[in-house]
Amino acid sequence: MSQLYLGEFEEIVLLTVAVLDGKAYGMSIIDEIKSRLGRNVSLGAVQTVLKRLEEKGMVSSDFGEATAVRGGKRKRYYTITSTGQQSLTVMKEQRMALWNALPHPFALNFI
Amino acid sequence: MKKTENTRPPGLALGLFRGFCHPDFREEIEGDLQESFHRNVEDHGVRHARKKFWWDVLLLFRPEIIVPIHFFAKLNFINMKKSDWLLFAALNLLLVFLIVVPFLPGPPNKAVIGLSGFSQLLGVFGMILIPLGVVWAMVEYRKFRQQKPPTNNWNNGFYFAILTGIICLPMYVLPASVATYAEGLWAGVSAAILLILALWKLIPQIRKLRHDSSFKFNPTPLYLLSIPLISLVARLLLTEPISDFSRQQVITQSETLITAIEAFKAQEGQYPETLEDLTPTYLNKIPRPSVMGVLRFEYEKTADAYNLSFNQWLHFGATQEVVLYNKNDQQLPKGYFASFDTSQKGWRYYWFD
Repeated sequence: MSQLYLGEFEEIVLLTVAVLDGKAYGMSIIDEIKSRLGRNVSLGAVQTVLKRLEEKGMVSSDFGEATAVRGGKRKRYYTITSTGQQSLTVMKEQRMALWNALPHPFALNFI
Repeated sequence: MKKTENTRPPGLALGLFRGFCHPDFREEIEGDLQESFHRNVEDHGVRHARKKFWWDVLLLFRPEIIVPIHFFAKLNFINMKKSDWLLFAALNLLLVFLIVVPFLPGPPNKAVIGLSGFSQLLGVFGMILIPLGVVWAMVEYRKFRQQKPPTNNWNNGFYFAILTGIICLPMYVLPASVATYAEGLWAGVSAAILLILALWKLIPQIRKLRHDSSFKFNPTPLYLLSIPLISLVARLLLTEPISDFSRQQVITQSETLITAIEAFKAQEGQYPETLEDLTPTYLNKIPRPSVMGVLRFEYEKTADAYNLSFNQWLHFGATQEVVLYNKNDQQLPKGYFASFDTSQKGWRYYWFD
């Protein structure tokens, strides 16, 4: 289980990689997080988490195309692995279990 | 997009990134940095994009991204301890920081100007230490290679340390005396306390060297080489761009002040006698400059307009730069030895000895 554990930001980045479905690279992940969550994240934070997720085997990566605005440097595209999918599923189930365990009046009060 | 492709990100920041980033990640992250930079140029302009680029580069300095320590370990042919290398890097970075700190955003502080001047002086007077550092390093390396303690007294680090102390003492006392003369007793007392603390820490270590029979490489001579060289290089490379940055920063900040002065003129029919006349009607309070080495705004009413100025200290804390605004471009300062235009209308700057 400890191998499948994800921090809050790791979970967000991993979900975003899954959402982008093969088109996830540094900048596109930042854009997606900003547009969906309204959260500004730095390139450093995203790249650090991507390296960590890759080390844990939750994402895999391949080089893509280079463009002029990137100074001729290639993009590195990330895709979610089966371990990553399994981890997200476990995280979701755990959260749902916690949500379902909430006393109803309390849950209804603030949802 | 074509226009932005010709704009380049700050070379120094890019060089810094290439220096610390792990080679395996360098290509994609550099590509992301460049893409972000060009987008920011399009959306917010070059100045904002450059600032953001620097910020992005600094935020990338993280353990997962930087070159791992073992990369450097291969270069460690003198087998120095990791803690010694870290201390060496930290002290040299501190030296660079002290040189640039008066030009960085922060509350105005007189002490940072003196510290920067002193750190810059090390790049000149410290050059005397380089030959001593070279000889001492060679002796240390010989001892380390032969793997036996020194047999003659002359190659004992103790004597090199004493000689270094004799050379360094006047290099410290002289600027400390100048600071005391210029700034008052507090500067002299602070310098004396600092010297006593340094001697209290160093003397036992120097005495230990006299009977040191180990054959380990003593890193001290590396400091004698690095400190003057790093100070010189930092002063030559950084003073100009960083003072451009701080000047621009304060000029931008003073727009509020100029707007308030003009509002006063529109309302009262004449320019204020002092900046204090603007409060509280036109400004809640007179802003303090947002750069650490710029202590205050100066204001002087002239016949048909006014001069608004601020000072910053450059080269060794001995060259005073006066940045002056006159809406009619009629600045008439005396005694300067060089003057320069800025990109803002009405602003010029002058260098004084």
